[in-house]
Amino acid sequence: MPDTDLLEREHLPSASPDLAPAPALPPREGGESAAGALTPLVSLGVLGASLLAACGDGSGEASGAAAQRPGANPGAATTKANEVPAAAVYRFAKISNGAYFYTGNQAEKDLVLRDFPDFRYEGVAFYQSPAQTGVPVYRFANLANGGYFYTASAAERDGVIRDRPDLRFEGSTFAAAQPDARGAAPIYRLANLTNGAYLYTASAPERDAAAATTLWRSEGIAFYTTTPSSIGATPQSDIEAARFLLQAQFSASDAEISAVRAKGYSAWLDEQFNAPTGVKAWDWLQGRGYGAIDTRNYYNAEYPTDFFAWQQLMAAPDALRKRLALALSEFFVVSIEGVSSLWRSQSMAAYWDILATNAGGSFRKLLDDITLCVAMGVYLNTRGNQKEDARGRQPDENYAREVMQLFTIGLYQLNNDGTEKRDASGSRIETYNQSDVSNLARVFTGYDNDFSTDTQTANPFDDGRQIYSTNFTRLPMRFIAGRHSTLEAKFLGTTVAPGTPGATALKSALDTLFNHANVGPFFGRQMIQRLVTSNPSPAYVGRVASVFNDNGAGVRGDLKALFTAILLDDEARGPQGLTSPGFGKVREPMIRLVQWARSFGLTSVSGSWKITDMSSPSARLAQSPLRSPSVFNYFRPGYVPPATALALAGAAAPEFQIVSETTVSGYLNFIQDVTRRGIAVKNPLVPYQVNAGADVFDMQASYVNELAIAPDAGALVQRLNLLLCAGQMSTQNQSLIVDALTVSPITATSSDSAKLDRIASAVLLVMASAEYLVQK
Amino acid sequence: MHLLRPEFHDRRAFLRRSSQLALTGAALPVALNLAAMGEAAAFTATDYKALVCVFLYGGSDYANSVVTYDSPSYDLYSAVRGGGAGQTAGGIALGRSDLTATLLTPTAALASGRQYALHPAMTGLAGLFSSGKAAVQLNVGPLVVPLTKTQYNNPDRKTYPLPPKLFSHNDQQSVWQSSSPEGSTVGWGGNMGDLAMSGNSNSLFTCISATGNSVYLVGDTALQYQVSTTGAVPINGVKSAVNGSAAVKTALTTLIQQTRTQVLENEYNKITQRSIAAETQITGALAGVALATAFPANNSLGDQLKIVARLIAARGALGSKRQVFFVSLGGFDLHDNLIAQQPGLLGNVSSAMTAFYNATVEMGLADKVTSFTTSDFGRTLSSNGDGSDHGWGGHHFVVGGAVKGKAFYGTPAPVSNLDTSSPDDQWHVGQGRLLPSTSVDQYAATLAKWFGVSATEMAGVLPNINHFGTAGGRADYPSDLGFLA
Repeated sequence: MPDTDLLEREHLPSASPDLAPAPALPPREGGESAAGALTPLVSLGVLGASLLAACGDGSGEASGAAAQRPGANPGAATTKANEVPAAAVYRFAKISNGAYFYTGNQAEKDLVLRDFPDFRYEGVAFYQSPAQTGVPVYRFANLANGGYFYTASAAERDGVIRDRPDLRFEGSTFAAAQPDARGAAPIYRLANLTNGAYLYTASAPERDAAAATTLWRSEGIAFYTTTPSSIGATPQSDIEAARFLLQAQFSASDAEISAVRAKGYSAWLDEQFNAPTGVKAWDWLQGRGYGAIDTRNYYNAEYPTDFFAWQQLMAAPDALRKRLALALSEFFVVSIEGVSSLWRSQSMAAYWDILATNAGGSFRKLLDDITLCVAMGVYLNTRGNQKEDARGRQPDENYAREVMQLFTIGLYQLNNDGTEKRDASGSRIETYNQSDVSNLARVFTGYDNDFSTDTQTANPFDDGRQIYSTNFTRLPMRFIAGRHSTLEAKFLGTTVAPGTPGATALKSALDTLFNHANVGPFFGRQMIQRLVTSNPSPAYVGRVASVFNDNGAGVRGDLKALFTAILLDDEARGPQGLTSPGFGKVREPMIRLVQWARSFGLTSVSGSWKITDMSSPSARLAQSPLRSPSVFNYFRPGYVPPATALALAGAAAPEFQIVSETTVSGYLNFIQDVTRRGIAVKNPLVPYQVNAGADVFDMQASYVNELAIAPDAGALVQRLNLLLCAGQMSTQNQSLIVDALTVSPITATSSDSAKLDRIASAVLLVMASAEYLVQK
Repeated sequence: MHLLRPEFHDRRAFLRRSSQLALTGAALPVALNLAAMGEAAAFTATDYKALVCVFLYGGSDYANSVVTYDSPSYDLYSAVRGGGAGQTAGGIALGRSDLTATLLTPTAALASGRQYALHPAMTGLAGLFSSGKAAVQLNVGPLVVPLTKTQYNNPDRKTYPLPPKLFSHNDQQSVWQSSSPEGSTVGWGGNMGDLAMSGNSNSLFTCISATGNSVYLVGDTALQYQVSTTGAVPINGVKSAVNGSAAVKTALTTLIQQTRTQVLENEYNKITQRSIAAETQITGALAGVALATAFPANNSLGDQLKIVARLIAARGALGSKRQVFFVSLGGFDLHDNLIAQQPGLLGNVSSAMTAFYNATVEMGLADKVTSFTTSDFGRTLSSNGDGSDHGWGGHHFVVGGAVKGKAFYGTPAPVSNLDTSSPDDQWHVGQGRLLPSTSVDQYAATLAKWFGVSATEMAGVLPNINHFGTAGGRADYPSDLGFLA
C-alpha cells in the first residue's frame, strides 16, 4: 500500500467542489422527511457489538495502515518511539455547515489543514488500531454536504453503496478495534437531521449534549477504539520516569529518575511512603523562634504560615508526602486568610502536619483529625460552637454543611465511576437537604481550644491580657458537655439519639459520612484532577474509587492504596495522554515555583525561608500555599472555562479559574525575575517580617548541573525539557529556544554571569511555554 | 417547563455557540476583533452606558446591613439577635440609637410604619439615598417561580420548583450570576455583552472584571477581560530584551502566543494573546485619563472601582459604548465575629460605591452608569452565637444618577424566625432565612432594560424571566421593578 493512498491528488481536489459552502440539505433530494431520508443508514445505524463482530472482512484496502508504519508516522520520525506509540484519528469540522471529517493519516490531515480552510481542525478524536488486528472502517463522501460517513459494518457499507448514489464510496480508512479487545471503548454515532452529516465521538457527554438538541439524533455505537497499553512496572526511559515523578511529587532529579528506573514505580512509591519525614512544620516554627511571646506579635502573625509552607514544599526530604499533603490541602481546605485566631500560624502548621502525616494513612483517621484540629475549628466555626438556646440561638451549620458538600460526599449521589445518578425522571439526586445540615450541626457543638498543657504569659504590650502558649494548636479541641446539643440528630439515614455522649455522636456522624458510597468517587476524582488530569475517564475514577472502597485487604479509605492507584493507572502512565488533545491539567502556579526551586538547587542561605504570600494576580503567582480565598479552593473541580473549546466539549479545567489576562502576565514577569536573580527578601537574618530595607537574594537557584553544560545550548534545553516537561516539549520548540540562546554564544570560559543569563533565559522560555504549563 | 435548569440554559448556550463557532471557525480572528462574531441583534445606541455589578462574596447579612428600625420591628430583631435591654446593642444586634445617623427617609414612607436604617458604617450610601441617587431593593433572591411559604413546603417540585442548591455558597453565587448552579458557563452580564459588543470598537472591552474570574461576565460570544487594579499588566519579556538578549525576547513572544493543537495549551495561549493585544490599548488609553475623585485607601473594592472609573473615563480612546463591569469584595461569610467584622466590610462597600458615584459625576456620566450589589445569599436572622448562617433572600443597593432613589422597592418582610401559621411568619423558611418576594430575574431585568435590552431579547439574557411579570401572569412580580428611569 503506497503511503499516498489517501493523498492522491485526485482525492481531495475531487472532493473540493463538495467542500464548497453548500446549502444545508437533507442527505437525499425529494419530499421525504429527514428521518425517512436517512432510513437506509438508520435501519442499520443502531449498531451493536454483534453487527460489528459480524463485519470486518478485511478485504478493503486498510489505508490507515500507512500510519502504522514507523516511517509514515511523523510523530515517530521526530520523537522517540516511546512517546508517540498510538496513531490518532483526527477530527475536522466543516465550518460552513457543521459536517465532520475524520482521518487517521497524518499527511492527509496536514493537507486538509493547509488547503481546506473550511475545515476546522478539532484535534484527536480517538485512536486507530493496528490494521492487522483491527476492524476496517469504510468511508463515504457525502456529495451534497461535503461531510463524511463511516461504517465498520460490511453489510451497511454494501447497503449504502447500493442505495445511496449521493454517498461516494472511498474505500477503507483507519482501523477500529475489535469490540472484545482489552480496553475497547465505544465510538458513538450521531446523525444531523438537518443536513445529513454524521458525528462520531468517544465522549458520552458530547453525545448527550448533541442529542439533547433537536439537531442531532444519537444512533448508538458505530465501532470501538482502544488506547494501547504500554505500562510496565518500570519506566522504559528517563522521560517516562520524569513524567511519573512530576505527577507524584514536585520535581525530578537525575538521582530520582535513576531510582525509579532501577526500582520500578511501585517499589519506589513504597519506599517514599515509608521515607522519614523531615522536621514537621509546627516544630520548624517553634525552632525558628515563632513561639515566643514578645513584641513581635507572633501570636497574631500570618506570615510564618507562608514561611513554613514554602520551606516544607521546597526543602522537606519527603517530597511525595508533601505533594500529596498539598493536594489534600486543596480538598480539605483551611486557609490562613480565614484563621484569625491566637497562634494562627501554629494552628495552620498543625493542620499541615496532619495532612502530611496522614497522606499515606487512613481517610477515616484524617477526617477525625481535621474535624477536631484548631485550624479547622476556627476556619469553619466548630471551635466555640454551642447548642441551641431558648432565645433562638442555633448551632453553627458551617462545618456540618461543608464537611458534606466538600470533604466527603458532595451534593449529588454518584455512581462508583463518579458520574451522577439519575432518578426516574432523569434528575440528579441530592445527597442531603437543609434538615440534614441542621441536624448534623448539633453533633459539632461543644468544642473549644484545649489549653490544658499551656502556660500563660503577660502580654508584652501590658494591656492586661494573658497569652497562652502554643501547644493547644496541635491538640484536638476539647469537648465541653454543657455546650453540646442534647437534641436528637437525624441525618443521612443515621439517628443520634437524644443525650448521646459527644464522642459517640461524633464517631457516628463521621462513620456515616466515611461509609457513604460517594466518598470514593468524589474524593478520588478530585485527587486525580490534582495529580494527573482534569477530565479523568469514568473508568479511571471507578478503578480508583474501588481501591478506596477496598484496598484489596478489606480496608476502606487506605490513602496509600488510593494514591498508588491514581499514579499507576493506565490513564496516568499510558502514552495515550501524550497525544490526546484534552488530557492533562494546567500546572498550578505554586507548584511551578516549587518545581523550579527543587530542580535547580535552591536553598535559603539563612535558613529562614522568608517567602511571603504569592497570591498577587498581577505581580506574583495568583496562588499561594494554604491561602485559598475560600473553603472552595483556588478553583472548583467542575470549573469549565467559558467561551473555549473546553466549554464546547463540556470539559472541566479547574486551574483555568485563576488563568486570566492579568495572571498570565504576572506569572511571566515574576518567573523572569526569580529565574535569574532568585527570590528577594528583606533582612533574612531576623525571623520577623521586615518591609523596608535592601533586597537580599537569600534564595537562589545554584544551577550547578546546568552551568556545566551551558555552552551547549542543545544539551541545556534537552535537560530542561526532561526535568521540567518530562520530555513533552516538541522538537520545534526546543529548536526555537536553542536558536534564540545561540545568538549569544557561550563557551566554557565565559563568565558565570553570562552562563546564568543563558540558563535563566532557557528556564524562562521553557516555563513560559504552553507545553510546560500543561502537564500531560 | 421551568427554565431555571442547567440543562436548558446549557442547551440554549450550546446552540448559540455551535452556530457561532460554525460561522467563525477555528481560525478565530484576533481576539479584539470578536465583534465580527457578535449576534446580529445589537444595540444601536450612540450614547454611553455601563452597569457595574458589585458582588459581596460569602453571603451578606441582610439584617445588619439594612436594619429594621421602627420600634416594634426593631424589638423583634433585637429579641432574636440577642440585643441588650433598652434597645441597646447585644449579641449580634446593633443598638438602635447607633442607627439614627443612617436612618433612611424615603420620599414615600413604607406601609405600616416600617422603617429601615443602614449599618452605622454605611454613611456614604445613606447620603446617596437621601440625595435620591441610591435605592434599596428589599428581599431579593433566586426564584424559579413566585413562591409562598406553603408552596415552598409543598413537596410537588414540578409545580413549585426551587432554585438548585439553596444555601450553598458556590452554587448560589452561580445562580445569582447565571441562573444556574456551579458549572454554568454563561451569565446574564455576559449575555448583555453579547448584545452590546458589536457597538464597541473593541468588543473585548465589553465585559471587564477587575477581580477574579466570574461566570457573570461570560456570554455566548462575549469574553471576560480581566484587568488589574493598576490597569493592564505588560509582559516585561515581550516589551524589552530578556537577560540582555533580544533573541530571547523574540522567542518568548512567539512561544507564549503559539497556536497549539493540545486544547488546554491552546486555550492558555489564547489568553496570553489577548493579554498582550489588550495591554497595549488599555495602557495607551489610560495614559490620557486624569480623574480627580478620591477613592478610599486600603479598600480593595475601592481600588477595583477606581480602575473601572478610569476605564470608563477612557471610553473614547477604547471606543466603548456599552460596558458591563464586575467587582467584588469577600469576607461576608460571618458565622463568627459578625459584629466585629461588619463595620469594616460594609464601610468599605459604602465608601467605595460612594467614591465611584462621585467619579461618575466628575465625568458627567452619573446618569449613564449604574452600580448594584449582589451576594451569594442573605443570612439567617437567628444567631448562632457570634454570627449568622446561610440564608436566601437579602436586601441590595442600586446606585447612580439614573436611579429613582430615596425609595425602597419590593416588600418589607416581617421580622420573624418563628414557624407558626401567623401571617408574620410566612416570609422566611426557618431561622429567619428570607423567602424572596422579588426574584433575581426581576432585579436583573430592570437593570438590563435600562441598559438597552429589549423586551424580546430579555429571555435570551434571563431565561427565567417569563415566569414573572405579565408574561408569566404575575403582575405582582413585575419584570420592571421601576428603580431606574
